[in-house]
Amino acid sequence: MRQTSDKFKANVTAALQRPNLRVALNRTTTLLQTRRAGVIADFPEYEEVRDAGQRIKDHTLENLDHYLVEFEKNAIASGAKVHWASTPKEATDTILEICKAHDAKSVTRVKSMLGEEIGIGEALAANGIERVETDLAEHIIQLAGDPPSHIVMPAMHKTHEDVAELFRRKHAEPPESDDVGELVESARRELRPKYVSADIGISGANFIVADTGSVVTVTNEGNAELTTAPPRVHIVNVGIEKLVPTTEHCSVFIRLLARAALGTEITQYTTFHNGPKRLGDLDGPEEMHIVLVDNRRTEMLADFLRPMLRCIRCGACMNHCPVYGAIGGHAYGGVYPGPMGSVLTPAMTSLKQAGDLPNACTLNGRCKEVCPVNIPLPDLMRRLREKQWRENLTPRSFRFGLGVWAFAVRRPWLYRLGSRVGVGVMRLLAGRRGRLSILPGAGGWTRHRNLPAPEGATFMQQYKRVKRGARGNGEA
Amino acid sequence: MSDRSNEARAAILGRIRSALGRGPLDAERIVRERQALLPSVETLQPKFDDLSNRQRFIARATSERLTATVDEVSDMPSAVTAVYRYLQRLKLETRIALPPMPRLRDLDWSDIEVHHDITPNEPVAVGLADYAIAETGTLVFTSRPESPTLFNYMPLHHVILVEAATILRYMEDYWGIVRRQGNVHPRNTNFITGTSGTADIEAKNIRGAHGPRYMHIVIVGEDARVES
Amino acid sequence: MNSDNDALGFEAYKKPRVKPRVGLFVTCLVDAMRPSIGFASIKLLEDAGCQVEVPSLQTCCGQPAFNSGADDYARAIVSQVIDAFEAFDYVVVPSGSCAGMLKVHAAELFVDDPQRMAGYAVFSQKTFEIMSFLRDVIGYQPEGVRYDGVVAYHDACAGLRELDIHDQPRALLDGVEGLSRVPLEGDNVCCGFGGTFCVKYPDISNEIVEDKARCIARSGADTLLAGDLGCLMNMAGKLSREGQSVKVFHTIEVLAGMANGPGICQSAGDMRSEEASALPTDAAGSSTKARS
Repeated sequence: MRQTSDKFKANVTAALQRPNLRVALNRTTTLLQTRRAGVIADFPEYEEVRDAGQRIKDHTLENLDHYLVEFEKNAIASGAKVHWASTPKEATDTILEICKAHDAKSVTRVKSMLGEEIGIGEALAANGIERVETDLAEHIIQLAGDPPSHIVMPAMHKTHEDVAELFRRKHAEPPESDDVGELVESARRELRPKYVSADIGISGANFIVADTGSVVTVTNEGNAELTTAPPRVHIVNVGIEKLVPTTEHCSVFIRLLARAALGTEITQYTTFHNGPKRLGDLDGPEEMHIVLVDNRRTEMLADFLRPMLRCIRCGACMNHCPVYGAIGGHAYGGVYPGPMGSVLTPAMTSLKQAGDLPNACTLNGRCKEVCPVNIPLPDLMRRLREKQWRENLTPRSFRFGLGVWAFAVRRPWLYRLGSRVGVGVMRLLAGRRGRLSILPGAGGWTRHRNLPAPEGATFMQQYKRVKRGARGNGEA
Repeated sequence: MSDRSNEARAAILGRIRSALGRGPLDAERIVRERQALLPSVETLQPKFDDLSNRQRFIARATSERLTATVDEVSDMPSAVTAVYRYLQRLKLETRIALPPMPRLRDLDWSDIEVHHDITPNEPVAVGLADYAIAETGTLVFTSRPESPTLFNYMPLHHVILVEAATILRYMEDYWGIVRRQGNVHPRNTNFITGTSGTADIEAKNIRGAHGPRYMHIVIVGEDARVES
Repeated sequence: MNSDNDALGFEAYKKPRVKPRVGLFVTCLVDAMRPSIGFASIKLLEDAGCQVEVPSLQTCCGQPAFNSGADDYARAIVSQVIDAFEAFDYVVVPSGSCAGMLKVHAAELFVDDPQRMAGYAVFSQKTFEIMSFLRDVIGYQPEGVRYDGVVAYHDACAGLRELDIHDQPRALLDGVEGLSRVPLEGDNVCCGFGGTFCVKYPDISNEIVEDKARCIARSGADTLLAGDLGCLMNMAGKLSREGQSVKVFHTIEVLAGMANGPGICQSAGDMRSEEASALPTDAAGSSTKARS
């Protein structure tokens, strides 16, 4: 997808002007927050499981080379072919080669954010291969021509009225009403024939298990199995950080993922895929290809961003983020939105290009609170800001302003002078009203809010007077 | 593997080692460390001490989240009757898709017409789960020549027989069994929990996205004598 | 006796240490925008049995610099604070955000300097947000304080998540006569202030505070309280612009019995007209409501 994170401010302005978006976001995030809170309240062991999840991921990352090699060995033993790709282009080139080798005309796809990262959609289109998205939300955005706006519910930005209108226009047998059940039924009808006619099925992986060479998909709809079993070839594109050591370690994450993402104990379909068709199998692909993708993850491994690699793509952070809730996912302009996207987009593309993202955060910390693997998201964002400062990427006017502030606060006498003047001016402008509705230079604030009027003298001024008065009265 | 892939492999592993500041590793130490991360897996599993495996399984399976219906019978012939009852109750045609599994195929299906293939718009398929997991109300299927995967995903109604003695308590118990049996993994291990659904439109939970919309579970026989 | 010149603390050293010596870190916002919070803090701390001073060599906690990634500036500013408060047993701050910066976040700035880290560690241990200090350290409960009002309480994010400030303000407020609390929907949801955030992204900030204002309106409260002036200014500014009549104070003002005057963004004139419309009158036309 085309990245527009350098146009963040313009994206935000556009997003804030769409009342439908706010409605859609509100309906969804509220439900997700409530469900998550409920299922975690029913799980007294949650904190311990979460800590175990963090430790397992940290251990895996510390031994990532070992686990990748172990995974590769076991995947090959199960009959799969394993490919490695450092960059998105290497990954899509590999996948296209496999498609060409099988003369593939159409491909069904299970939702995969890594697939978006590498741009598989564009690559398939550029090579004249039909791509059928099978995940309901991906199907919706494919019809609408939209990029995903959330990592678990990519069509979160659409109200059901939006979807009904879309399906009425695009489905061979349109839905009979706006009722959500009807819409799902319509999508089921539309996609059914495509499953069995596809040449190749492409999926991602929620986890890959080193000791068995398994690829694990965690879904609700059944589209993962319907995409990967009928066609001749199953291709998996997966980030190298999705590794877990064993099936037992994987169970820990299975307990965390659905709870954090959807507020349920487990999703309908958790499938461990181990290689292609076995002798005598009546269904299953003839070939299975696993493409392991780096795309800057090894760089994150090397520096302060390493904890970000624990991410299991649950989306809880963005579901609880007030900024995401205000602007929606598209404004972030990249594959990953919300708090995790504000770290990943600069890391995977460029801090210069995605400079607004780590800054458009109040550092309120709710994301860190709900993360099932304890990723310190606000700290990572602050450290990205520190990197921007060091690399001179902070906007010049802001840098100057902060420099002036820092200069003054380290010289209390100067600071007192300045604050006395500033406060005095504000007091004058406020008159008797107790507030200001305009203040030169503070347009951003006063456009939407009033400013309280200061008392007129600063605390330090008044305190000094009080103490002088006290001394004059013989008190010390 | 292509040259490009080989080069990428070397480059990726090299970058990882340099990021972590060391060379290749001692595999035994790693296994010890990872086992130490799950010293007592019991502390990481949700407790339901007041319920038997069967009770918990049924409670979960019939919950609003999973929406399965459940029947309990004493033996496999009675299970056939239960399937028949289900078809009658819902006024479905008495035709089913059945995996070519001897344990199912060799039952006396009497009035029910049975075929061993499956199509995308199959109304009803009947299956036999390998195991079930009480914690979450999950059924476990493994792919084999006699049990193709798609029988679990194509039909609108999925009627699943499961022997009570195979209802395990936790997913880890299943992994333990697999390990004890030589750690052989099939092409697909499907953990299926309730009916297909989606919450992609405004987070509203709707049933029957692509997989089966209706699930009827027939629990057969007695509980295992020693529950794990 | 001018302790401002007593940088080495000799005067304090000479006095018998009966009362804990508390240095008040006023915060730049309180200093400029609402000094009454500072005076309310002093009053409460003195009532709680502390000896309170306000060292003059303080300005800012360094958070604007820290949150902007200007770590060198932040380090210098925090070091200045550490030095200014050297002589005190406790450093008390009427702001969860500034307290969180000084007590928790600043550690990151001294990670590479073991010597300064040692000095910081001592400082961090003795630094507290004021409500946490009153409850957790002193075990204080104000007595004979009255505030007639229905209060919605907002948990400012930094105090809540960095310093576990949640039960303390509620416990303190429950001891105030005449005060009743109502639940505030989303009381642990950010108000959209975020320090430099509301300056850099004012429209997003507005969207968030609009939501907050709606929740406050729905709560049925006539008073909004919180422990951070930045958040309070943000919410009061919005409520005021929307013409909502909810009074906004810092919790400390209520606890010190100093919430009789205009709230944040209110003027004396607003108060008089509100009282006039709120007071029931008897047949003779005089007010029957007791003045608090």
